[in-house]
Amino acid sequence: MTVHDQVRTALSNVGRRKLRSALASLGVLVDTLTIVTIVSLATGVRQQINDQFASIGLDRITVNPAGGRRGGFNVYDGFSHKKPITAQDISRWKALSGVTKVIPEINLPGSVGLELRWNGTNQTVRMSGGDGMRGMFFQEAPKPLAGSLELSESGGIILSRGIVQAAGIPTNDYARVIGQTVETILKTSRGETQSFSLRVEGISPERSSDIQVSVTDRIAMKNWWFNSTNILEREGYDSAVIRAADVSRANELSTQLRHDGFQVQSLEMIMAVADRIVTAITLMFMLVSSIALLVATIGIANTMVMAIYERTREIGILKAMGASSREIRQMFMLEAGFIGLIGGVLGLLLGWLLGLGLNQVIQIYLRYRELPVHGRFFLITPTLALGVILFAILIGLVAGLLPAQRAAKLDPLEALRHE
Amino acid sequence: MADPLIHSRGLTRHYHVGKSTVAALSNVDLTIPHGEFTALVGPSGSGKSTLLNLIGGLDRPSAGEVHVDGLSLSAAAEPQLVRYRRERVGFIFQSFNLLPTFSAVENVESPLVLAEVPRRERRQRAEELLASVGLAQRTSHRPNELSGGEKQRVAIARALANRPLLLLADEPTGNLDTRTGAAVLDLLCNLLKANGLTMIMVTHDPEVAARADRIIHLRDGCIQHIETTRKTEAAT
Repeated sequence: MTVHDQVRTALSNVGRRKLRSALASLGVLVDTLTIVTIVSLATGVRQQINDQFASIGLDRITVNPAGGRRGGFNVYDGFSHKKPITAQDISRWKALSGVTKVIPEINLPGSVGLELRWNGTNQTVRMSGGDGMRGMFFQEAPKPLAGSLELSESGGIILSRGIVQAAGIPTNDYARVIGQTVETILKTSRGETQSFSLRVEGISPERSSDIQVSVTDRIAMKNWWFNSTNILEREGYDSAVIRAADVSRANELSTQLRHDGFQVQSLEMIMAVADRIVTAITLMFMLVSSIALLVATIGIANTMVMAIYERTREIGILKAMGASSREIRQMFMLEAGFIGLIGGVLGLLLGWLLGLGLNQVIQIYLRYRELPVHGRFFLITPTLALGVILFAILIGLVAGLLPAQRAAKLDPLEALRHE
Repeated sequence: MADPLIHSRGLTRHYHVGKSTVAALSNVDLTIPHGEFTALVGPSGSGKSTLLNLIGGLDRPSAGEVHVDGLSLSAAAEPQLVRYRRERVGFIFQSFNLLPTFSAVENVESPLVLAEVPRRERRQRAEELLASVGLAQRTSHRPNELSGGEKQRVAIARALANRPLLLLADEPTGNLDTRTGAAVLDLLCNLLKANGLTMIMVTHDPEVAARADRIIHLRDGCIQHIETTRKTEAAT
């Protein structure tokens, strides 16, 4: 019997008892549906976690000079970095593939007093970092209330809304603030001061009293503070944030830079933990769905036993005509496999539709809650689709194994006598 | 004359019923030449069907041996027996034993499907065979849409499909009324002659047995006597 004829026969036999075949494949359908739903959810959630972590900064790594942080605030014991971040390093990193941005940072020592003299007021302000971490931790990138939040190379300053309000400027005058000059005054604890004239380039929406100043200007401030002229050349940058094209590239970069001798901080650990949690939950649900698997297998096995009992005489006839035991076994195995396949395809289809619907529901909920989360939570990959179909066929084959073996072993004479 | 088609020596078949052993067939020595129509007659339980099944390779002897066309059925491995049934034997049963979900032509085709004959070829052969048994108009009917005589004709066509050497018929007219039975028997005899086939037929009916070249009388699993009718000579 050719394979083609075997397939045809098996299909026509499955079609003979449509209702029974359908009921038998129902078990596989439920099982496939469960697996598709769980795995597609796990895939989707993992993807979401990836995306979210990218948005909270897992695509960024923070590079610090090796050799520990600065020992004291005295300039003379401050050059202990064994591996400083030089300007050359910055430009080298910028040229690496998979790097979208390199933001060098200069931090002023914590003991620096900062005041802002403007519009007749004198405010104590804080220096906030550059835009390296902007948009992290679920925050959408802030929008300027006036001007721009991108600082020019030097001489510019960005004020937060808190400062502008404290200076007594009404909201509709914000636009006029842009271009005005403000005095930023650095004070030491001994009362020495130095004023830096900076031009307002933008107003950020934060309510705090934060100012942002370009790295170039911060270098100038730091030079004054340490009474130096070449602090950058001697000490390098305090840190740098590298933004990678994606999370996995960020992980590669951290490994590479660690190897180069820098201290690298990244959030890859968090990612690994999240991945473990998702995997554990997936496994747990898979365990539950293995009960469905058992039911599916029993369902098909039962159907096959019934079919073989009903067709005992036919098996006898076939054997008398010269069908081998192997052909009889293959015939029933194929039937069982087809029942599995039907269940698998329907289960996959149903799982896909369910995922589609649930994705919609989730989107509506997220929009209602105004959460900045987008994308699909149920994700059926081609691997999952193919895997689940093959698995369904496998269930059928396993369930058909013993009944088919029984059919193959039937004695032709006894089978022919069967009523 | 050439080697006989069927040759048996000391052919014995025991069945175990509970703890006792029943001899269905004991020590049968038999020689059947090519092209002969042999009838096996005898009361129920005389071993007719057992002998037929042993010759058909559906059953294996407990002792003794049986050779058909040079193949020792008692010694043959299972795959050889399967091939033997597929290629050299055609069975005809009392209760027709057609596949109920297949049409007439599909039933006739089924041995050819097992023999891996290409689709177009087997369909053509099946239709020719159905025409030769007078059922050219009934090819697409299912068995339950056919009369008893028609069913047995389909079964005959099926038995001939793989061009066997040997037809084994177990009471082929037993489920038919006298007239239909006679017609089926006529058809069988004509096909035998036309194809030069050897046939062994189990029957209760003396009239049917009388058509055979030889009648083997069995009783209690032994050959009682063999009767040569010479009917063929008388007819010609």
